[in-house]
Amino acid sequence: MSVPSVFQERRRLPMRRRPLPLLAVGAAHLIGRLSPLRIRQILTACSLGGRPATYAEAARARADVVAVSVRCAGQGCLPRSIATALLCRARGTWPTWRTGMRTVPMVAHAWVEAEGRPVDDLPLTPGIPPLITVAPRARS
Amino acid sequence: MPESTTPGSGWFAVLPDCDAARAAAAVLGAEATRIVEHASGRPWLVGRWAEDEAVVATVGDARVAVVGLSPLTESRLAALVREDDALGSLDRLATGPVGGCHLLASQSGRLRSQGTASGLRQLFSARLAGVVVACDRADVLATAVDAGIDERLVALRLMDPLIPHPLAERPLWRGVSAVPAGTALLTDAAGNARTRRWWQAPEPELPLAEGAERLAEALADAVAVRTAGGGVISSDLSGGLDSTSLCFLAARGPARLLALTLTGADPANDDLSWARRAAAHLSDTDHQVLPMDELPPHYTGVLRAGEGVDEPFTGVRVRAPFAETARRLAGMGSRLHLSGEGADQILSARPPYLHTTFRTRPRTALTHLRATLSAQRWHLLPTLRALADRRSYGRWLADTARDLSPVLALDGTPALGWQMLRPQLPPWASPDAAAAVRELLWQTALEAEPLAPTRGQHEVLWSVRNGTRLARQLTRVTSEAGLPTHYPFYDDRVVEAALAVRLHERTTPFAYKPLLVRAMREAVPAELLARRTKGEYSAEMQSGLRTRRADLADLLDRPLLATLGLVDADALRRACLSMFPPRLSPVTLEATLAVETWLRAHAGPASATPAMGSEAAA
Repeated sequence: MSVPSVFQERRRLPMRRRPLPLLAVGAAHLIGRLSPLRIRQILTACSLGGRPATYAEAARARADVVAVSVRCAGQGCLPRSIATALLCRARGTWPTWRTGMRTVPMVAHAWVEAEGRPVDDLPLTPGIPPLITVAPRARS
Repeated sequence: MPESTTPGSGWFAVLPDCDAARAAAAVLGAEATRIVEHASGRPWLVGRWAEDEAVVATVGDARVAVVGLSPLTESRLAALVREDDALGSLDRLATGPVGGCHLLASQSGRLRSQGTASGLRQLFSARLAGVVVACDRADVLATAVDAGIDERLVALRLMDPLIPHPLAERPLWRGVSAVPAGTALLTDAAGNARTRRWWQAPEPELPLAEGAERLAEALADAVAVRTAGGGVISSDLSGGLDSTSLCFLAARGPARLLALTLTGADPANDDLSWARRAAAHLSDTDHQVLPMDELPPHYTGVLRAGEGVDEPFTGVRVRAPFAETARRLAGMGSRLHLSGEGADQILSARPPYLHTTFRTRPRTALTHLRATLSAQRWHLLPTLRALADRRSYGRWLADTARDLSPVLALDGTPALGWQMLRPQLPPWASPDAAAAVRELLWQTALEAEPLAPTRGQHEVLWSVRNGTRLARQLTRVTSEAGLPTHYPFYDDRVVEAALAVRLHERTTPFAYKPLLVRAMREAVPAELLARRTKGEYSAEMQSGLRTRRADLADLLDRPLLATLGLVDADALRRACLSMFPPRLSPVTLEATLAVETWLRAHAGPASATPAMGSEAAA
């Protein structure tokens, strides 16, 4: 396994662009404390109607989240991935949200994917089988 | 068999210049193949070493010897020795361009003997036949004086690698002591000895740019000493920054370079792709990629892994694959192997540096602290409390001895003490083991001095000592397999250069090894210096635990540690053979297995103390 050895570089966001990411981060921290079942229910409900996010859109949302939250920039993969997905949704899209774990060595991780690959999350993610996936779905 | 001795696989002992030492010489000389004499004609150095491993100079009635890697020839060594003060001239030799070597001097009945400041080359001493004898191996002395093992120190080794200074350097035998790194053993004509400090760690006060220049120079010298002899040498090329730097420096020298990349099974390890990118820049280098599954799995031969090493070492797990790699590279013609070990220890301080920086540069410290809190998931209040803590080293040691229970990973405890994580014992340690360790800690706390006045620098020096303790044993393992391993990052000049740089510039949560990146700007292509991840190999360890279950079950069937009353055998077996507790560091288990295998090799019925003998022989 490879592990990130450096705190992620954080872009600075202009003041006027901070409220939405901050809101997403706040919500993500609350949602992240719930049970996996509740998290999945809430995210599934949120995902409804968002068109699939492109890689660029998801990467931008992730960068915005990391820019406003030190916690999300560090080891907080759960709030980070939830906030990224929520921020995407606020902008009309939805990435694929995933969480999974591997046992040898024991790692639990949450991340988002777009265009079929993890968004800015290499190299930790490969090799972690997903347990919960919330993919974009169109409103029926 | 002196001719076939690989450098690093032998030993030497230093004998005082008096008639009383003859009895000691007779004991040690039985196993020796080489002898160097004092001016008086009495034996000075006895042992087994490779032809070119020792350089001895004679200046008047003085004798000076360099054992190990050094650029010095006999004549150049002689030129550096002052005839009236041979012992004092070791100071000049020790601060000159040395690789890694023991320095020894004898004049008018007085001796001075020392290893390196890093601790990679060590000396031990014991009183044998009435005189103090020094040796680079504790087990040789233990055999010579027929020493018994001290169970309290065995218990202490269960803490590895978190054994607090200065307890970690104590040999496990009664009557054998270590000459602390950075001090010299001074022996008089009657065969009595005392130690004197010759090395002082630099104050961390240089700005990064200046320090990087010094580091670049020291590291280039360190590698150049090793390539100077030409021929073929090999180096790790893991894909990490440390070994990559060594390869680029080594490729400049006259030796042909063989770069070795081991590839693991873990798909999430991106080391190989980085190694290939580096190799693409190294046109004259032979890049060997060796899949780890071609090597013996970790823990192979675990039942005999403690043999031939003078203290338990966590390399027990990798002993077989290391030896096999060494044999293969030696077979390809390599005469020595470069390892990037040591870089982690010297290039950045660990979190306690924040405690130090907070007092000198509070604003910088707060920025770093905020990132560290998030990256390490420390809780805020305990962190603030830890920052405010001003206890002295001895006081801290005594206080932490109260609670030796295991620290679980990610429990939110800030690591800002004198030692990154507080002293702790594994969950399978018995109450007796805990009592023994607590007593040792309390005894030590009364007079313990930290390695440096601040927590930040103390932690760095302590982790260097811990690192060299392991490297010293691994060198022996690979040397015995025919290929000595070298650690340029542990050369004294390199350590000094790195440690002179300000803590908060050497270590920042926002950049990966900024000191090395800056120092290697001209030697290594920028694209390779941009790496921000690090390979991690716990998967290999854990699959080794599964592959070698039968051996491990055999090892733990009647553990000697349980016979000594130091561990709960059932708890240890459960941890080792079932799924390993996920929040416990794998090193915790490794340390215990290392102690157990070492005891097997050294505490057999013959060499055990009476108290242990009856149980161990049962």
